[in-house]
Formats: sequence, C-alpha cells, structure tokens
Amino acid sequence: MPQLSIEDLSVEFRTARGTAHALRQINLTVDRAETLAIIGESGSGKSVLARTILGTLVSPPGHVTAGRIRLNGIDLLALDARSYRKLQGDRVAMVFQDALVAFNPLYQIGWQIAEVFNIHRYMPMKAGFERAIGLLRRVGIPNPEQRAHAYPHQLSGGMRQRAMIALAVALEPDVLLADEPTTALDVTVQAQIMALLESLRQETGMALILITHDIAVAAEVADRVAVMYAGRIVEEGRAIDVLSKPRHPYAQGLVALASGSSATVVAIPGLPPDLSELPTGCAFHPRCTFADDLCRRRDPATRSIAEQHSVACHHSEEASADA
Amino acid sequence: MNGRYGRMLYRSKGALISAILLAAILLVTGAGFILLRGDVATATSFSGTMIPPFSLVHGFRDVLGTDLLGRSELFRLIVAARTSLAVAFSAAFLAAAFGAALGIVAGFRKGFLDTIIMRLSDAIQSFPSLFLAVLFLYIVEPRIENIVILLVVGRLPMFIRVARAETVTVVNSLFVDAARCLGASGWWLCLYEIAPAILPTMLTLAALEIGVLMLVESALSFLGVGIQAPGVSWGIMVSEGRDWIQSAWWLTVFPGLCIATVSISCNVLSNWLRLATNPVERWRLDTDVHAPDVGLPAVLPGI
Repeated sequence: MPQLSIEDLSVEFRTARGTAHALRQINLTVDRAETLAIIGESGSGKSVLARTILGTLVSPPGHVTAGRIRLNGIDLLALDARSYRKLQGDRVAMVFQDALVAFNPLYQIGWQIAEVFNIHRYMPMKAGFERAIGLLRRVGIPNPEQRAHAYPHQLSGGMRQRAMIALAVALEPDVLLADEPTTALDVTVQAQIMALLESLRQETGMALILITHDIAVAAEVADRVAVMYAGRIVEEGRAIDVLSKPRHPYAQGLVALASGSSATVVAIPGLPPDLSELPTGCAFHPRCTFADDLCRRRDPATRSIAEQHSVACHHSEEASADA
Repeated sequence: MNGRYGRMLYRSKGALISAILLAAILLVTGAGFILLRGDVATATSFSGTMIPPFSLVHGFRDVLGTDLLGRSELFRLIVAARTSLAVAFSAAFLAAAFGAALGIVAGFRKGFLDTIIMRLSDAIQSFPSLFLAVLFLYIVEPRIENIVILLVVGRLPMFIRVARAETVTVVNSLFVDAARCLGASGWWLCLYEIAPAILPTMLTLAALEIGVLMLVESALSFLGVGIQAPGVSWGIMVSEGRDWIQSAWWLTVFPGLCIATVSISCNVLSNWLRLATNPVERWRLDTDVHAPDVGLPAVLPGI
C-alpha cells in the first residue's frame, strides 16, 4: 500500500470573479521512502496541491470538489478538523521555501521546535527543548546547544533552512512536503540541503514530495516526477523516463529549457492560462505546436504509455518522435 | 537575561530616567500608606492657609504649600496618587487586556463574531462617552470600581480596533501559517503566535492611555459623578486649583506635574520596552557603539 495516494482530486477557488480550477483530477501515489518531484511553473497548482494534502487549504475560497487523499489508508478529507490537526506536523509535515518568515521572529529556534513536541506529544517545553538540540545536531547545525537559543534572524539562510527541516522531521512524519526548499538559497547550500533531505528520507523511510521548478534538482534526487500544467498532471513517471524522454509537449519544453545550451533554447510561447477561464479542450493547446481540432475540442485523458509512465496528450507519439 | 535588560535600560537614558521617576512616585505612594495615617491629608489648619511652596518656615508638612483650607499640598498629592494611579493603571491594563482579547478574536475568526464585536465597539464609540458616564454613575454608586469599569468600557473600542488590525496582518504572515501546518489549534495560534506579536503595540497604546485616563477621571469628578470628596485624585486637585491659578499656582502646577510625569514616563518606558522585547531590534539598545535615545513620544496625550 502506498504511503500517500491521491485519487481524482479536484480543487476550485470560488471568487467573485469566477471559479478558478486550481486542481483538476489529480492522481498520484507516493510509496514509503520514495521521492516524488512535482514540477511546473508558477500558478500550475503545485502549492495548492501541497496545501490540500496538509489540510490547510484556505476555505473559502478554496473547495475540494472531488477526490480522496489517503494517508496510510486513512481518508484525510473525511476527517474532522481536530483529527486532521493531530496528523498535521506529526504524520505529514512541511518544509517552507523561506525559513526566515516561516519561523516566528519572537521566539528562539529551540523553543519553536519544542512546540511541536508540546502540541503533539504533550511533552513539557523544557524536555522538548532538549530534543530540539538533538534534532539541530542531526541536521548538521554546529554548536546546537547555543544555536537553539538563537532567534531566526540570527542564523544564516542555510542554517535556518536546516532548522526548518529539523522542525519538520521532529516527529518523523510519514510524508514530508518540501515546497521549493532550496529556492531562497545559493547553489552550494542548495546541494547541502538536498543531500540532508535525502539522507533523512533514507534514515526514516518517509516519503518525500518535492515541489520545485528547478528541474536540475528534481533530476538529481527524485525517483519519480510529475509535471503539472494548469492544475493537471500532464505527465508522470520515473524521473529518468520523464526527464530524459518527456512525452508531453509542455514537459518537453520545460526539460529543453532546463538542459538546453542557450543557443537552442526556445521559450515556450505564450502564457499559462487563467485558471478561471481555461481554454476548451486541452489547457495547453494555445501554446502547443501539435495542437489540432481534437485538442481544441477535447481535454485528453491520462493514458499509460509505458510501465509507470503516463501522459495526458492526444499527440504524445508525434511529439516524442519529433523530439 | 535580567542583567541584559538592566544593561539595556542603563544605556538608554530617557528610559532610565523615566523608570527612576516612576519608581520614585510608586515608592512615595507606597510609603504614604505607612506614614500618612489618619487624617493628615485632610486636616485643615486655618492659621496657615495658602502658604506658598518651598519654604520650611511652617515645617516639612507645608514644603509644597497649602490650600485655602490650610491642607498640606504634599500630603494631599501623596494620598491623591493612590486613586489616580489605581484608576489609571487598572483601567489601562484592563482595557488593553479585554480589547486585545476581543480584537484578536474578531481578527482571527472573522465572519459573524467579527461583525458583532466591531459593531458593538462602534456603538460604544458613537455614544458620547461623558454623557454615558454621567448616566451610568448616576445609577450606580460612584466608587472607584465603578469608575474603572466605566473607563474600561469607554476606552475599549480603540484597543479592539488596533488589536484587530494588527491581528489581521499577523494572521496572514507565514509563521502563523507554518504553525497551522504543524497542527497548532486556533487557541494556540491566538495565544502563542498572535498575542505576543501584538503585545508591544497594546503596551504602547495602554501607556498613551494612562495620561488620558487620569484626565477623564478628573473630568468625571468635575461633573460631580467621579471620586467624591473627601476622596481626592490628581485630576481633582488640578480642577480645584484652577480657581486660584493666578494667586496660588502651586495648587494646579504640582498635581499637573505629577500627571505629566507619570504619563510621559509611561510613554518613554513603553517605547523602550517595545524595542527591548523585540529580538530583531534590541541589539540597538545593547551595543556600545551607540544607544539610540528612545526619545519622547510623538503624541503627548491630553496635556
């Protein structure tokens, strides 16, 4: 049984200006100790997906209109708020992009980590603080006894992100969501943070969902990759398959952009669609070179094209032949 | 940590002076409970009325002068401090506490509760507060407790408004979101994430209110519904002395000075506290290079 499985998940944002289809029929599974990278440009629904899994979708305006999220077989969306809260930070945890603003500026780091033990394990804050020191050591922060007394602004960006990770893995969650964990960091620190996440994943057997727009990072650590566009997963499969031989024209564009020598790079033409006014048929057709009448008329179903490789495109064969 | 606060206080002269002044006033007021027994403050002496201050000819009792009834200005000031400080501090504290609680709830929960709280606060604000006070104190006895309740209710809307506005900004910051993602309940968020973040603002506001409250309390006495004679407060002394301001200036100047000292000191101290309790900013008070002068507040309430 997969650690986390998402079936047919759809999320809408209902605003005065209309309904935005943020997620459309998402199907995903993540196994124990597996790393899944979700890639896609800004506004493709990556973060909404993370929030929905965490149960912190702001509602209203966000509404889950269909689907199920199962964590170890438990249907999360059927839980009441209180039971969901028991899982948040305990079985599912999140690493945020910018640790500076994700920590409360008024408390020392050690106490903020101790809070997790206090909330979920009813541990006295003092004891939690001791545990926090151990965690800070484990994520590679030198001098953890002193750093636990530091305020967030007193740590460097890399240290802060390490502390954030310590906070997230404190209770050894089953699923760790990392939303652009390295975007705010410089390249050398990025590599260290990714290595840290990887080693924690191997140690604890947690499933890691890495949300990123950095394809190089995804290629390095992910077992599987899902490409999102306009709230849909347009291609999903083993990282090596998706990133070396992408089948969806959009995924091809992304991969080409990431890997291409600058001479051959051609930006994907056009802009991502307004989620409240999606084009008819395939959402990508206005920007796609393979688009025909069928694409304009019908949204392609997700179909399996090889073992553990699926794509939602009418013309994936032609597209991959061309590439 | 205490050493650090002491050091930060020592380095910022304005705050240090304010702290010393406040401590001195509190000390003298406290000592008055032990030393000024019986009717020394109300004792009249018709042989020595309207004695100007700063002469020891008539003994230590009359060092700050006497009034029309020959009562010692010094002793009256010390006794009046009890009422003034008790009313102003407890009203400011209670208004800040209740205002913060209601404002946080309104800003955090939004929706129905928000509407109710805010409309109630609008209702209080739209009503002339002095008229309300007269009405209220006409019905109930004008005791200190009732005056405090009245002042708290009257000053509540401002605290609610500010607390709500601050809460709305803090609620949208990522660290509150992060805490929610870690499984923190609404109560937890309000108590441990939002309340500490808005506390400095509430303190500053409460400090600003102290001067105002002392004057409002005396205005009530002036209208005959506040503290009743022989009870006395600084505000009452100011309004009583007003009639003799040309012949006996000390009757207004000294209590006025007391009110000003307390309210300015509270202001400066709250500014300092705001900086000193902020982990990101407090190094400014804790370095040898330069300690910024916390300075006088921009607004001097009612003075």
